[in-house]
Amino acid sequence: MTPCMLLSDRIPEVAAGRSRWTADDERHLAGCADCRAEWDLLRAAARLADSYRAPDPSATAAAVTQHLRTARSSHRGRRTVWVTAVLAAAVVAFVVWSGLGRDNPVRPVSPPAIAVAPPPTAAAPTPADHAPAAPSGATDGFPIPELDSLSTEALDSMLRVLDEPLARAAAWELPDVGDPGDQLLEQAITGREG
Amino acid sequence: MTARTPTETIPDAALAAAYRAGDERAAAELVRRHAAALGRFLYSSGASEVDDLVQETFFRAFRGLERWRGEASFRAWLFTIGSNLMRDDFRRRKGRHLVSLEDRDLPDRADPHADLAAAETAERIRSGLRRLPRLQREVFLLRVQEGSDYEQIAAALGTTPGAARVHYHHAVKRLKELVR
Repeated sequence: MTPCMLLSDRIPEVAAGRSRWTADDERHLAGCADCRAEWDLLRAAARLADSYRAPDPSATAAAVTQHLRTARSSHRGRRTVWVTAVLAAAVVAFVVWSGLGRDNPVRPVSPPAIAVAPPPTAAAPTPADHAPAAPSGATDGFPIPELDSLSTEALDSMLRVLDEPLARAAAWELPDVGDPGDQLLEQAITGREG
Repeated sequence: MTARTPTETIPDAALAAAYRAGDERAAAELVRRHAAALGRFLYSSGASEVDDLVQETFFRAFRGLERWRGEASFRAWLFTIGSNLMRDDFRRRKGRHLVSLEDRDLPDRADPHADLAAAETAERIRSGLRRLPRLQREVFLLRVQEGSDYEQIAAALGTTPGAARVHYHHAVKRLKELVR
Protein backbone atom coordinates (compact mmCIF):
# COMPACT_ATOMS: atom_id res chain seq x y z
CA MET A 1 0.00 0.00 0.00
CA THR A 2 1.36 3.43 -0.98
CA PRO A 3 1.97 6.13 1.65
CA CYS A 4 -0.66 8.24 -0.14
CA MET A 5 -3.28 5.52 0.36
CA LEU A 6 -2.35 5.05 4.01
CA LEU A 7 -2.58 8.77 4.62
CA SER A 8 -5.82 9.02 2.65
CA ASP A 9 -7.44 6.47 4.97
CA ARG A 10 -6.45 8.57 7.99
CA ILE A 11 -7.48 11.99 6.67
CA PRO A 12 -11.15 11.79 7.84
CA GLU A 13 -10.05 10.87 11.37
CA VAL A 14 -7.63 13.81 11.58
CA ALA A 15 -10.08 16.20 9.86
CA ALA A 16 -12.73 15.29 12.46
CA GLY A 17 -10.23 15.82 15.28
CA ARG A 18 -10.27 12.18 16.37
CA SER A 19 -6.63 11.62 15.46
CA ARG A 20 -3.39 13.59 14.86
CA TRP A 21 -0.77 13.55 12.16
CA THR A 22 2.46 11.84 12.97
CA ALA A 23 5.77 13.42 12.02
CA ASP A 24 5.99 11.06 9.03
CA ASP A 25 2.51 12.06 7.90
CA GLU A 26 3.40 15.73 8.10
CA ARG A 27 6.57 15.18 6.07
CA HIS A 28 4.57 13.34 3.41
CA LEU A 29 1.93 16.02 3.29
CA ALA A 30 4.52 18.72 2.86
CA GLY A 31 5.92 16.96 -0.20
CA CYS A 32 2.77 15.56 -1.85
CA ALA A 33 0.49 18.05 -3.62
CA ASP A 34 -2.15 15.37 -4.27
CA CYS A 35 -2.45 14.48 -0.57
CA ARG A 36 -2.56 18.19 0.35
CA ALA A 37 -5.42 18.69 -2.10
CA GLU A 38 -7.23 15.76 -0.55
CA TRP A 39 -6.64 17.11 2.92
CA ASP A 40 -8.13 20.48 1.91
CA LEU A 41 -11.06 18.79 0.23
CA LEU A 42 -11.84 16.64 3.26
CA ARG A 43 -11.61 19.55 5.68
CA ALA A 44 -13.98 21.56 3.49
CA ALA A 45 -16.37 18.59 3.15
CA ALA A 46 -16.38 18.05 6.90
CA ARG A 47 -17.38 21.71 7.34
CA LEU A 48 -20.17 21.53 4.76
CA ALA A 49 -22.83 21.09 7.39
CA ASP A 50 -21.39 23.60 9.84
CA SER A 51 -23.78 26.27 8.65
CA TYR A 52 -26.77 23.97 8.86
CA ARG A 53 -29.06 25.03 11.65
CA ALA A 54 -31.20 22.06 12.53
CA PRO A 55 -34.67 22.92 13.79
CA ASP A 56 -35.70 21.91 17.29
CA PRO A 57 -35.92 18.09 17.16
CA SER A 58 -39.04 18.12 19.31
CA ALA A 59 -40.76 20.42 16.80
CA THR A 60 -39.74 18.10 13.96
CA ALA A 61 -40.97 15.10 15.94
CA ALA A 62 -44.31 16.82 16.60
CA ALA A 63 -44.69 17.74 12.92
CA VAL A 64 -43.87 14.20 11.77
CA THR A 65 -46.23 12.51 14.24
CA GLN A 66 -49.00 14.96 13.33
CA HIS A 67 -48.43 14.20 9.64
CA LEU A 68 -48.59 10.46 10.38
CA ARG A 69 -51.79 10.92 12.40
CA THR A 70 -53.43 12.88 9.59
CA ALA A 71 -52.40 10.31 7.02
CA ARG A 72 -53.75 7.49 9.20
CA SER A 73 -57.12 9.17 9.68
CA SER A 74 -57.44 10.04 5.99
CA HIS A 75 -56.56 6.44 5.13
CA ARG A 76 -59.24 5.30 7.57
CA GLY A 77 -61.69 7.78 5.99
CA ARG A 78 -60.93 6.47 2.51
CA ARG A 79 -61.44 2.92 3.73
CA THR A 80 -64.80 3.87 5.28
CA VAL A 81 -65.92 5.45 2.00
CA TRP A 82 -64.98 2.30 0.13
CA VAL A 83 -66.75 0.00 2.57
CA THR A 84 -69.88 2.22 2.47
CA ALA A 85 -69.84 2.28 -1.32
CA VAL A 86 -69.51 -1.50 -1.52
CA LEU A 87 -72.32 -2.01 1.00
CA ALA A 88 -74.56 0.45 -0.85
CA ALA A 89 -73.88 -1.32 -4.13
CA ALA A 90 -74.72 -4.65 -2.50
CA VAL A 91 -78.02 -3.28 -1.14
CA VAL A 92 -78.96 -1.80 -4.55
CA ALA A 93 -78.09 -5.07 -6.26
CA PHE A 94 -80.23 -7.01 -3.77
CA VAL A 95 -83.20 -4.65 -4.18
CA VAL A 96 -83.02 -4.80 -7.98
CA TRP A 97 -82.68 -8.56 -7.92
CA SER A 98 -85.61 -9.09 -5.54
CA GLY A 99 -87.79 -6.63 -7.54
CA LEU A 100 -87.15 -8.50 -10.75
CA GLY A 101 -87.89 -11.75 -8.98
CA ARG A 102 -91.39 -10.50 -8.00
CA ASP A 103 -92.27 -9.40 -11.55
CA ASN A 104 -90.86 -12.46 -13.24
CA PRO A 105 -91.08 -15.41 -10.93
CA VAL A 106 -88.19 -17.66 -11.36
CA ARG A 107 -89.19 -20.82 -13.15
CA PRO A 108 -87.35 -24.01 -12.69
CA VAL A 109 -84.76 -24.18 -15.37
CA SER A 110 -84.78 -27.33 -17.41
CA PRO A 111 -81.44 -28.81 -18.21
CA PRO A 112 -80.06 -27.56 -21.50
CA ALA A 113 -80.74 -29.73 -24.50
CA ILE A 114 -77.69 -31.51 -25.73
CA ALA A 115 -78.96 -31.87 -29.30
CA VAL A 116 -82.01 -30.51 -31.12
CA ALA A 117 -84.01 -33.06 -33.07
CA PRO A 118 -85.00 -32.02 -36.60
CA PRO A 119 -88.69 -31.16 -37.08
CA PRO A 120 -90.82 -34.20 -38.02
CA THR A 121 -91.83 -34.57 -41.65
CA ALA A 122 -94.85 -36.32 -43.14
CA ALA A 123 -92.68 -38.63 -45.18
CA ALA A 124 -90.76 -39.88 -42.26
CA PRO A 125 -92.86 -40.10 -39.15
CA THR A 126 -90.95 -40.07 -35.96
CA PRO A 127 -91.48 -42.60 -33.23
CA ALA A 128 -93.27 -39.85 -31.34
CA ASP A 129 -96.15 -40.09 -33.83
CA HIS A 130 -96.79 -43.66 -32.68
CA ALA A 131 -96.52 -42.92 -29.04
CA PRO A 132 -99.75 -43.00 -27.08
CA ALA A 133 -101.19 -39.63 -26.30
CA ALA A 134 -100.23 -38.31 -22.97
CA PRO A 135 -102.98 -38.37 -20.38
CA SER A 136 -104.78 -35.08 -20.17
CA GLY A 137 -103.74 -34.66 -16.56
CA ALA A 138 -100.13 -34.83 -17.54
CA THR A 139 -100.49 -32.30 -20.33
CA ASP A 140 -102.20 -29.87 -17.99
CA GLY A 141 -99.16 -29.81 -15.89
CA PHE A 142 -100.59 -31.85 -13.02
CA PRO A 143 -99.14 -35.27 -13.54
CA ILE A 144 -100.18 -37.98 -11.12
CA PRO A 145 -97.08 -40.08 -11.07
CA GLU A 146 -98.73 -42.82 -8.95
CA LEU A 147 -100.99 -43.72 -11.86
CA ASP A 148 -98.08 -44.28 -14.19
CA SER A 149 -96.96 -47.23 -12.17
CA LEU A 150 -100.36 -48.98 -12.16
CA SER A 151 -101.20 -51.82 -14.51
CA THR A 152 -104.00 -51.63 -17.05
CA GLU A 153 -106.19 -53.89 -14.92
CA ALA A 154 -105.72 -51.70 -11.92
CA LEU A 155 -106.55 -48.57 -13.94
CA ASP A 156 -109.70 -50.25 -15.33
CA SER A 157 -110.66 -51.26 -11.85
CA MET A 158 -110.29 -47.67 -10.73
CA LEU A 159 -112.40 -46.48 -13.62
CA ARG A 160 -115.04 -49.00 -12.73
CA VAL A 161 -115.12 -47.79 -9.16
CA LEU A 162 -115.38 -44.21 -10.36
CA ASP A 163 -118.21 -45.21 -12.64
CA GLU A 164 -120.19 -47.12 -10.03
CA PRO A 165 -122.15 -44.32 -8.34
CA LEU A 166 -123.50 -43.11 -11.67
CA ALA A 167 -124.51 -46.66 -12.56
CA ARG A 168 -126.21 -47.02 -9.26
CA ALA A 169 -127.92 -43.62 -9.64
CA ALA A 170 -129.64 -44.89 -12.77
CA ALA A 171 -131.17 -47.57 -10.65
CA TRP A 172 -132.36 -45.21 -7.94
CA GLU A 173 -136.04 -45.44 -7.37
CA LEU A 174 -137.60 -42.06 -8.01
CA PRO A 175 -141.18 -41.39 -6.90
CA ASP A 176 -143.74 -41.86 -9.59
CA VAL A 177 -145.36 -38.58 -10.69
CA GLY A 178 -148.59 -40.43 -10.96
CA ASP A 179 -148.77 -40.81 -7.24
CA PRO A 180 -151.28 -38.80 -5.26
CA GLY A 181 -148.37 -37.16 -3.53
CA ASP A 182 -147.39 -35.65 -6.87
CA GLN A 183 -150.70 -34.13 -7.37
CA LEU A 184 -150.48 -32.46 -3.99
CA LEU A 185 -147.11 -31.03 -4.89
CA GLU A 186 -148.42 -29.74 -8.19
CA GLN A 187 -151.27 -28.04 -6.47
CA ALA A 188 -148.98 -26.43 -4.03
CA ILE A 189 -146.73 -25.06 -6.83
CA THR A 190 -149.70 -23.82 -8.81
CA GLY A 191 -151.05 -22.14 -5.72
CA ARG A 192 -147.81 -20.27 -5.10
CA GLU A 193 -147.44 -19.10 -8.69
CA GLY A 194 -151.02 -17.89 -8.49
CA MET B 1 -22.04 14.57 32.24
CA THR B 2 -25.75 14.84 31.50
CA ALA B 3 -28.23 12.31 32.77
CA ARG B 4 -29.75 10.12 30.09
CA THR B 5 -33.50 9.85 29.72
CA PRO B 6 -34.77 6.27 29.77
CA THR B 7 -35.68 6.29 26.06
CA GLU B 8 -32.11 7.15 25.03
CA THR B 9 -30.96 3.67 26.00
CA ILE B 10 -33.61 1.90 23.94
CA PRO B 11 -32.23 0.56 20.62
CA ASP B 12 -33.68 1.94 17.39
CA ALA B 13 -35.12 -1.46 16.49
CA ALA B 14 -37.08 -1.60 19.76
CA LEU B 15 -38.42 1.91 19.19
CA ALA B 16 -39.43 0.98 15.64
CA ALA B 17 -41.24 -2.09 16.96
CA ALA B 18 -42.97 0.03 19.60
CA TYR B 19 -44.14 2.49 16.96
CA ARG B 20 -45.48 -0.35 14.84
CA ALA B 21 -47.38 -1.54 17.91
CA GLY B 22 -49.00 1.90 18.11
CA ASP B 23 -46.70 3.88 20.43
CA GLU B 24 -46.41 7.32 18.85
CA ARG B 25 -43.82 8.44 21.41
CA ALA B 26 -41.41 5.89 19.95
CA ALA B 27 -41.63 7.63 16.58
CA ALA B 28 -41.01 10.98 18.23
CA GLU B 29 -37.92 9.59 19.97
CA LEU B 30 -36.53 8.23 16.69
CA VAL B 31 -37.06 11.63 15.08
CA ARG B 32 -35.30 13.39 17.98
CA ARG B 33 -32.45 10.92 17.74
CA HIS B 34 -31.73 11.17 14.00
CA ALA B 35 -33.22 14.41 12.66
CA ALA B 36 -30.09 16.55 13.07
CA ALA B 37 -27.76 13.98 11.44
CA LEU B 38 -30.20 13.47 8.60
CA GLY B 39 -30.47 17.22 8.12
CA ARG B 40 -26.67 17.58 8.01
CA PHE B 41 -26.43 14.72 5.54
CA LEU B 42 -29.06 16.20 3.21
CA TYR B 43 -27.66 19.70 3.57
CA SER B 44 -24.17 18.52 2.71
CA SER B 45 -25.55 16.62 -0.26
CA GLY B 46 -26.90 19.88 -1.62
CA ALA B 47 -30.59 19.47 -0.81
CA SER B 48 -32.80 22.51 -0.87
CA GLU B 49 -35.58 22.91 1.72
CA VAL B 50 -33.77 20.53 4.01
CA ASP B 51 -36.25 20.71 6.90
CA ASP B 52 -39.19 19.74 4.69
CA LEU B 53 -37.10 16.92 3.26
CA VAL B 54 -36.21 15.72 6.76
CA GLN B 55 -39.88 15.58 7.74
CA GLU B 56 -40.85 13.84 4.51
CA THR B 57 -38.04 11.32 4.98
CA PHE B 58 -39.28 10.41 8.46
CA PHE B 59 -42.86 10.27 7.24
CA ARG B 60 -41.93 7.85 4.44
CA ALA B 61 -39.78 5.84 6.80
CA PHE B 62 -42.56 5.36 9.35
CA ARG B 63 -45.13 4.59 6.66
CA GLY B 64 -42.85 1.87 5.26
CA LEU B 65 -41.31 0.72 8.51
CA GLU B 66 -42.04 -2.93 7.78
CA ARG B 67 -39.48 -2.69 4.95
CA TRP B 68 -36.68 -1.87 7.38
CA ARG B 69 -35.30 -5.26 8.31
CA GLY B 70 -32.67 -4.03 10.70
CA GLU B 71 -29.77 -5.22 8.52
CA ALA B 72 -28.69 -1.62 8.02
CA SER B 73 -28.84 0.89 10.84
CA PHE B 74 -31.99 2.97 11.09
CA ARG B 75 -29.93 6.10 10.40
CA ALA B 76 -28.42 4.66 7.23
CA TRP B 77 -31.87 3.58 6.11
CA LEU B 78 -33.09 7.15 6.67
CA PHE B 79 -30.15 8.48 4.68
CA THR B 80 -31.08 6.21 1.79
CA ILE B 81 -34.72 7.36 1.83
CA GLY B 82 -33.59 10.97 2.11
CA SER B 83 -31.18 10.52 -0.82
CA ASN B 84 -33.98 9.10 -2.98
CA LEU B 85 -36.32 11.94 -2.06
CA MET B 86 -33.61 14.48 -2.77
CA ARG B 87 -32.93 12.93 -6.16
CA ASP B 88 -36.67 12.96 -7.01
CA ASP B 89 -36.90 16.56 -5.86
CA PHE B 90 -33.89 17.47 -7.96
CA ARG B 91 -35.42 15.80 -11.02
CA ARG B 92 -38.72 17.58 -10.44
CA ARG B 93 -36.88 20.86 -10.50
CA LYS B 94 -35.15 19.63 -13.67
CA GLY B 95 -31.72 20.28 -12.29
CA ARG B 96 -32.44 23.85 -11.28
CA HIS B 97 -30.63 24.19 -8.02
CA LEU B 98 -30.55 27.50 -6.31
CA VAL B 99 -28.47 27.99 -3.23
CA SER B 100 -29.77 30.75 -1.04
CA LEU B 101 -27.08 32.73 0.70
CA GLU B 102 -29.60 33.46 3.45
CA ASP B 103 -30.07 29.75 4.07
CA ARG B 104 -26.39 28.99 3.94
CA ASP B 105 -24.98 31.79 6.01
CA LEU B 106 -21.34 32.58 5.52
CA PRO B 107 -19.29 32.80 8.65
CA ASP B 108 -18.65 36.39 9.67
CA ARG B 109 -14.91 36.61 9.23
CA ALA B 110 -12.50 39.45 8.60
CA ASP B 111 -11.46 38.21 5.14
CA PRO B 112 -14.44 38.36 2.75
CA HIS B 113 -12.34 37.04 -0.16
CA ALA B 114 -11.40 33.94 1.81
CA ASP B 115 -15.04 33.50 2.81
CA LEU B 116 -16.15 33.75 -0.78
CA ALA B 117 -13.52 31.23 -1.85
CA ALA B 118 -14.63 28.88 0.93
CA ALA B 119 -18.26 29.27 -0.12
CA GLU B 120 -17.37 28.55 -3.73
CA THR B 121 -15.38 25.49 -2.71
CA ALA B 122 -18.28 24.27 -0.57
CA GLU B 123 -20.68 24.70 -3.46
CA ARG B 124 -18.35 22.86 -5.82
CA ILE B 125 -18.15 20.01 -3.32
CA ARG B 126 -21.94 19.90 -3.01
CA SER B 127 -22.25 19.92 -6.77
CA GLY B 128 -19.66 17.15 -7.00
CA LEU B 129 -21.45 15.11 -4.35
CA ARG B 130 -24.71 15.34 -6.29
CA ARG B 131 -22.95 13.90 -9.33
CA LEU B 132 -21.52 10.91 -7.47
CA PRO B 133 -23.21 7.52 -7.55
CA ARG B 134 -25.45 7.21 -4.49
CA LEU B 135 -23.38 4.58 -2.72
CA GLN B 136 -20.17 6.56 -3.18
CA ARG B 137 -21.83 9.72 -1.86
CA GLU B 138 -23.30 7.94 1.17
CA VAL B 139 -20.02 6.22 2.02
CA PHE B 140 -18.13 9.50 1.67
CA LEU B 141 -20.54 11.47 3.89
CA LEU B 142 -20.77 8.74 6.51
CA ARG B 143 -16.99 8.61 6.64
CA VAL B 144 -16.30 12.34 6.57
CA GLN B 145 -19.25 13.79 8.49
CA GLU B 146 -20.42 10.99 10.76
CA GLY B 147 -16.91 9.72 11.38
CA SER B 148 -17.96 6.12 10.73
CA ASP B 149 -15.27 3.54 10.07
CA TYR B 150 -15.52 1.10 7.18
CA GLU B 151 -17.04 -1.65 9.34
CA GLN B 152 -19.82 0.69 10.50
CA ILE B 153 -20.41 1.98 6.98
CA ALA B 154 -20.55 -1.57 5.62
CA ALA B 155 -23.11 -2.55 8.24
CA ALA B 156 -25.12 0.58 7.60
CA LEU B 157 -25.23 0.29 3.83
CA GLY B 158 -25.36 -3.47 3.52
CA THR B 159 -21.94 -3.90 1.92
CA THR B 160 -18.51 -5.16 2.97
CA PRO B 161 -15.82 -3.04 4.65
CA GLY B 162 -13.55 -3.62 1.65
CA ALA B 163 -16.20 -2.46 -0.78
CA ALA B 164 -16.95 0.56 1.40
CA ARG B 165 -13.26 1.50 1.33
CA VAL B 166 -13.17 1.23 -2.48
CA HIS B 167 -16.32 3.38 -2.74
CA TYR B 168 -14.75 5.95 -0.44
CA HIS B 169 -11.55 6.23 -2.48
CA HIS B 170 -13.51 6.41 -5.75
CA ALA B 171 -15.57 9.24 -4.25
CA VAL B 172 -12.47 11.12 -3.09
CA LYS B 173 -10.77 10.76 -6.47
CA ARG B 174 -13.85 11.94 -8.35
CA LEU B 175 -14.43 14.87 -6.00
CA LYS B 176 -10.82 15.97 -6.32
CA GLU B 177 -11.31 16.10 -10.10
CA LEU B 178 -14.61 17.94 -9.83
CA VAL B 179 -13.49 20.48 -7.25
CA ARG B 180 -10.12 21.24 -8.81
